This record gives sequence, C-alpha cells and structure tokens, in this order.
Amino acid sequence: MKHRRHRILHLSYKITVGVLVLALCSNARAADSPWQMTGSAQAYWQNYSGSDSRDNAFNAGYYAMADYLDTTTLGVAYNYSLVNLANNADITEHLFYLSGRHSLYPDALPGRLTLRVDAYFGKDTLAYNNKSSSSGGGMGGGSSSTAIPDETTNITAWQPVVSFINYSKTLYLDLGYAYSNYDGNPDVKASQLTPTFGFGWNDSYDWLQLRAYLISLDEKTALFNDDRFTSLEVQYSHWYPDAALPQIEFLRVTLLGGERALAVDPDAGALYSTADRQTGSLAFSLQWKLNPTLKVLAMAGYGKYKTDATADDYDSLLFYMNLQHQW
Amino acid sequence: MRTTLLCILLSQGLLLLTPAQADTNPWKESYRLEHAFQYDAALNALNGVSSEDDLVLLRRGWLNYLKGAHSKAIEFYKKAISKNGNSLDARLGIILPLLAQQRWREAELNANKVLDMAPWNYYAHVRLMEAEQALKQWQALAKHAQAVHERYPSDAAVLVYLARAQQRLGNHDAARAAYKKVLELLPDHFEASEFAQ
Repeated sequence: MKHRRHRILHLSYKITVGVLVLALCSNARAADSPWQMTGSAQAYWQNYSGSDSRDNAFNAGYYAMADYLDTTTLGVAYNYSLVNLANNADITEHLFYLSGRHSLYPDALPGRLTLRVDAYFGKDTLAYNNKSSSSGGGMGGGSSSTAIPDETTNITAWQPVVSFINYSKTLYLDLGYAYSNYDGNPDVKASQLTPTFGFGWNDSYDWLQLRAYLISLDEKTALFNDDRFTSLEVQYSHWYPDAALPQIEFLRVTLLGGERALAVDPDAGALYSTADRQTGSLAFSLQWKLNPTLKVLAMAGYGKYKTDATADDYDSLLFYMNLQHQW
Repeated sequence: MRTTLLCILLSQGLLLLTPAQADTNPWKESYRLEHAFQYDAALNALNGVSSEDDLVLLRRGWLNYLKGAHSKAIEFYKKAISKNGNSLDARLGIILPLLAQQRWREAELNANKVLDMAPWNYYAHVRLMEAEQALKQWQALAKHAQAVHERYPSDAAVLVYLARAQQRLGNHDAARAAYKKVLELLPDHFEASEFAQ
C-alpha cells in the first residue's frame, strides 16, 4: 500500500533512446544523399539493492534519427519500461521522444551554434497484480472483494538547448532548460537548468565535460522533502585513435555528485521519471566500432537513491547495451 | 599667357590622374587589393559591378572565403550555383568554406556533384579526400586515393592521403610504400620523413 503514496512516477527510468536497426541499409554512400539515417536499439536491466519497495527494472526502446547534411537533425524514439516492485505490483511506462536541432555557422563565432528542442510525452501506470483483498475470513459471514485501481501519471516534458562548439573541437558550452509536468496525484512540475562546459585536449582525444543540474519543483509534495536539487555531473571521455576495425572507439566515465530528481538528461535523451532523489552515481561506458556503420555501446553503472516518502535508501546496478547502425 | 598656363596645369593634372584612372577598372583593382591581402577593399572594389553577375558572385565567394567569412562565402557560391547549376567553378568553390566550417557531408555532396560532371577533376577529388579523412572513412579514402594516384601519379598530396588511410587501416607496408613515393617527389616532406624513421 505504501506505493499508493508514491503517486507519481515511479522508478528511475532513463529514456535512453534507442534505435532499432533497420536492415534497410544499402551500400550507397552517405555522400550520395543529403540525408543520413541512424537507428539504434537499446535495452537495460537494473536491479535494486537494499530497497524495501523495488526489485528490478527492464527497459527497451528504439530510436531513429535523420541528419540533413551538417545542419538539421530530426529524431524520434519510443521506450518501454517495466519496474517490478516488491509487493506484487509493477510500473509500466510508455514514453515517446521527439527531437529537432538546427546548426548555424555564423561568421562572427569561431564555431558552430546549435539550437535544439526535445519533447517527451508518455504515461506510466502503477498496477497491483493482486487486485483483490478479502475480508471476512471465509467463515460464511460477510466477505467483500476490493479491487485496487491502477494509478496513472501522464508525463510531458520539453527541453530547449543552445550549444556551441568551436571548430577546433576543444571547447563546448551549452545551456539547457527543461520543464517537466507529471500529471498524477499529486501533480508535480519541475524546472531544470543545465549549464554545461566541456573542453578537450590531446587533439581532443581526451574530453572533460561538467554539467550542473539545477532543479526546482513548483511546490513541496509528499514525494519530496525538498523542492530544490543541485548536482554536478563530471564526464571524462577518452577517444582512441582510429585503427583497423573493429576497434574500441571511446571509453567514458561519468560521475554524479549532489542530488537530483526528475532530471532530464540532454545527452542521453533520458527522463528520470522517478519520485526518488538520486544522490550519486558512477558509470563506465565503452563503445566499439564494428565496421564503418555499426557500433555497440555497453555501460555499467552504480547509483544511490533515496525515497523521501518511505525513507527508503537503496543502491542500484544498471547494465545497458546499445546497438547503433547508420545508413 | 594665362590660358597657356591653365592648359599646362590641366594637362599635368590629367597626367597625374592617369594611375587613378587605371584603378577604376574594378576587376583590376580588386585583384590588386587581393594580392595586398586587403580582402574587404577587394570586395568593395566590385561594388560598381552588377551584383548578379556570375563572375561577381564567384569573386565575392572567393574573397569572403579568403577573409574567413565562410558563411558569407557559401551564400555567394550558392547564388552562383542557383544561377548556373553546371558551374564546376561554383561547386568547387563552395567546398572550400564548407571544409573550413567542418561541414564534411555537405562538402562531400558538392564534390560528388562535380565528379558526376567531371569524373577526374583533380580539385574535386582532393577536396573530397579531405572530407573523407575528416570523417575517418579510411577504407573509402584508401580506395579513392589509390584510384586518383593512378591518374595523377606525380601528385604528392594524393599519395599522402593514401599513406594516411593505409596507416589507419593497419596496412603499414602499403603506407610505407606510399610515403616512400612521397619522398621521391618531395624529398623534404616532413610527414613522410617522420614515418620513414
């Protein structure tokens, strides 16, 4: 029953967008057409350790992206998530993602300026698998059956981002804003600012990116003891020099310190639609380039969370795979 | 006497004006200023010429490229292409600012359009190879550079692209052979010398 108190969202779900590989790839060179398509299929499995309420989670999705030359990108994705809870209940989530970005090359700037807008919309449902509870003990006296209705939360979020990268690819700046609306019981609205600074060295084979998450909720609810969350994400990437394929393309370490809740991750295209606060995480990623058009990304991550409503502190291990194809 | 003096002064004045009159040829003046690296002035020198003239569009594209106004250069080259879709000059020209802005795919697209019309155009191939190198399309670059090398065997730049691609593909013997040829053409070539060591 305690899950009924978690009205909104429920578990941490990344919408790391994925992409189902369409085998329509042809041998036609990308240069023959102004459009270039990328598709990827992705999935993750997550287990929760030390949680009173959560067992594990699974996510699968696909993502398709169309690039028009070096100026415009359109993306669409769908993700399905299932969280198995400890009390014979589960949460399912269906989330759609739309993305559009356009790059400008003003002569007044020594690099590329990109305007981007992402939108998320979907629904999650908390369902109790044992929907009836009886009273009366089967003694012939009065008995009743009470169905516990599903609880649904409608999710919408949008995120405009302005970014800049210089031509020598040694400096990156962006400023993103996100507004998320969780229409459930209670309703929660979150605003987020993500100023980001990145820089590269060693011919940009090494790259460090710092991103602050400044999140504020419209009001305090039973879900969170606070309405302000601040965290810093530090991401180091090492790109390997090109070699004969297959090869490792990059290694990445991501560290999050501080606290964040209901975050929208502009890099992953991920929506953390959970009523929990993330209090830290560490993740390692490795990407292989199998051939000029096929890549595989594997990630293992450890995270710490806290559920204010139930004082439930727990850890999480996440294993993620992504298969990306370009044609 | 006064009339004679006036005539002398006028004639001397006209003589003094002669160099300036030569500069009133906008093209000559524009070329002169370009050689003096005065690209803005070279552009301004063309102000009196019809702005829709094909050559003016190409010239403005080129001068804007030289002064680093790459988006402006692309704008003029696009106008030139829209006026004359068969213009190899305009398509070859637009590739340069596109490469400068690292718009590799758009550069590739324009290079390929040139090659559709002029299959062994040297500049289109070299600029296309530059984009392939930036996009790390090593297999395509190796194959491409080999084919261009067969047509232009005395060109060192093509051999350098070939050597780099072979090196990145792990074909060190092929890379060494290409760099060796580079050194035969340019004995002091730094990159080839470094590899030979």
